[in-house]
Amino acid sequence: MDLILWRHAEAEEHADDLRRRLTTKGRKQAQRAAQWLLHRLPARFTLISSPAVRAHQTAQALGTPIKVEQSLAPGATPKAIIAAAGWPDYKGAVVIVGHQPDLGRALAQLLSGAQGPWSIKKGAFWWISNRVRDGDAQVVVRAAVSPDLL
Amino acid sequence: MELILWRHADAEDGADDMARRLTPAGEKQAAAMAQWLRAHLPAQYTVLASPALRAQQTAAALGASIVTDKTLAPGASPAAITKAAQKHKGTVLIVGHQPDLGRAAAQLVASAQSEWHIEKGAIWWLAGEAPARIKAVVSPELL
Repeated sequence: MDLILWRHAEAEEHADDLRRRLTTKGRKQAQRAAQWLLHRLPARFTLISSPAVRAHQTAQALGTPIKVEQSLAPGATPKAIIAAAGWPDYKGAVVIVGHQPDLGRALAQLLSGAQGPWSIKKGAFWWISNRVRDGDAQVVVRAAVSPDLL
Repeated sequence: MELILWRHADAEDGADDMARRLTPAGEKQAAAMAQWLRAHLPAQYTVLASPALRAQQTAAALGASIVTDKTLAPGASPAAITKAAQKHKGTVLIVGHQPDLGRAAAQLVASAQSEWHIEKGAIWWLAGEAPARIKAVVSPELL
């Protein structure tokens, strides 16, 4: 399967963390990443977002239906993120929009078995896929880019 | 330190491993990756390449001067790759082979002895001292 872990773009400050909105810059970051992804993702993919407004707004840039998953809210454990994605058995592509350090911890676990967290900049995403080669299960990083590198 | 690990692009088969040339698809991969790199590299950087022809041809796509480093030939250890990079200041781009580059990345990023897969013609851009941060992973097929 293909799994894209996408960190929400830059957001405004707000007393209520779950209601923080994207800044103008954040909206541009989300658009840039979304355009890149839309050109490369398969025609059908599953889009799952944290319930936080900044994550949901980032996901909206893709223009496809969004499934909101409460377990992806800030503080999500690697286990919750991996379960929400259906990794490793889901057939197809899943895009998860969430938070740091949560996504970076899930990545570190999937790729190195370590605690992490790995750094993921605002609006950046990691695209990983799994496959079996010569009888060994492998996780391959297909891309890891931040909006300023697109 | 910024260290970019670049695996050579797709190459022909051949009895002499050091003399294998890029295929036409490999030449396209190298050109696409070089174009992306030129857009994102700083003005000053050092290119170190394995002496194997497929690595030299990949590096040449950048159009910058290339330092050939024999310690980067197929079979280079993570220590050799790190040492080659540390001889130079600033941003260093190393064009080499698998599984060597993937082992070096695992060592630098996760202090792990494991084999990370790097696709043909792809780059892994690492930043900072060990543990290094992964700044970008880009494969030519996704450009």
